[in-house]
Amino acid sequence: MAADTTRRSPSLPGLVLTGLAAALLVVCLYLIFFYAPVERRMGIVQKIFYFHVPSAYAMYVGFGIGAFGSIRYLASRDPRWDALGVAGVETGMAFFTIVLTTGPLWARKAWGVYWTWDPRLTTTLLVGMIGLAYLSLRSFGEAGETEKRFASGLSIVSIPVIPLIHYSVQRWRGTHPTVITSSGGGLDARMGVALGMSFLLFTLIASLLVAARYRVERNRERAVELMHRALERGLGENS
Amino acid sequence: MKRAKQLLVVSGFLALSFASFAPTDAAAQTPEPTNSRSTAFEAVEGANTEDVSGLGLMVASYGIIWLVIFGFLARVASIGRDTEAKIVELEKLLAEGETPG
Repeated sequence: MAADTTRRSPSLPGLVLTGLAAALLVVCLYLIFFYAPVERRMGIVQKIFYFHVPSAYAMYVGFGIGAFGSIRYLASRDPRWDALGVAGVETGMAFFTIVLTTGPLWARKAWGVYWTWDPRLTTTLLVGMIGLAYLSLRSFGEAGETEKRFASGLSIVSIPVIPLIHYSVQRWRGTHPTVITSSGGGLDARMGVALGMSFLLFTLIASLLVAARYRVERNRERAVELMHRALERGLGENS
Repeated sequence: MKRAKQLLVVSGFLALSFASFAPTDAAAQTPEPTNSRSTAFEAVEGANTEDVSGLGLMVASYGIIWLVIFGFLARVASIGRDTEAKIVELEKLLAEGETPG
């Protein structure tokens, strides 16, 4: 695991990456609204796709990091891996919220309904419920060893669900579009450029959010540790 | 405050659980008798009120995306500030406790 990152001012690489993300955002907005053409059938609402799909990918990244941290925590009981697990799942949940709100807004125009029990939508909801269960478990007081272990187990459950979301469209069909395929096909080249840059942007944003949340979680653990130490010495009981 | 947060998380979880297990629209599953269906199409008087603005949906989507990302960052920053203050306070308390007299 990397060196301890608690209680430090923002690092230079962090600031550089944040600046890069801001610049990339401007590039992406230009590509989406001025370079990529408007879709023939759906019109302007298709532009949601450029941030919706990378958000779904960032959700996979977040839950993937969360599950990885949880596995390492269960194996080593090192609190730094637990902090990475929390950071990953919380970031995954942020992107899940984006996916689950932007998708229905697009669907209202494209399908005529906000929600349908399409395989991809249903499996995405399932992974979100796992994430919410994880956060519920972690929100009850100062998480002890048992809560941390249970939560880590829950996070690992998301591992098989993530590929299930991805392949659900091929496996069970459904109504969700599949324009990104191994054979290329369904995406105009200019749309592909805009989407590619958006993927890069959201990978960067997800990494920065995980890093920021990880740092805060490590600090929170440090605060808990200091509080236990103070209580052991009979200090601060009345404060 | 903490209790309220816990209640919010639990209620969100329950709402999602309910949504996922709620029965689908029974009317959509069972075939309706022919006489209950529409038998005529009539013109709307005035503007077409069923039309949904694609631009409005797109603007709402982009707004939500940045609201969620900046909301997440604001929350992380808030927890970070509170924790930093707590650490400083506890370190001071422990240092005072170690000082003789």
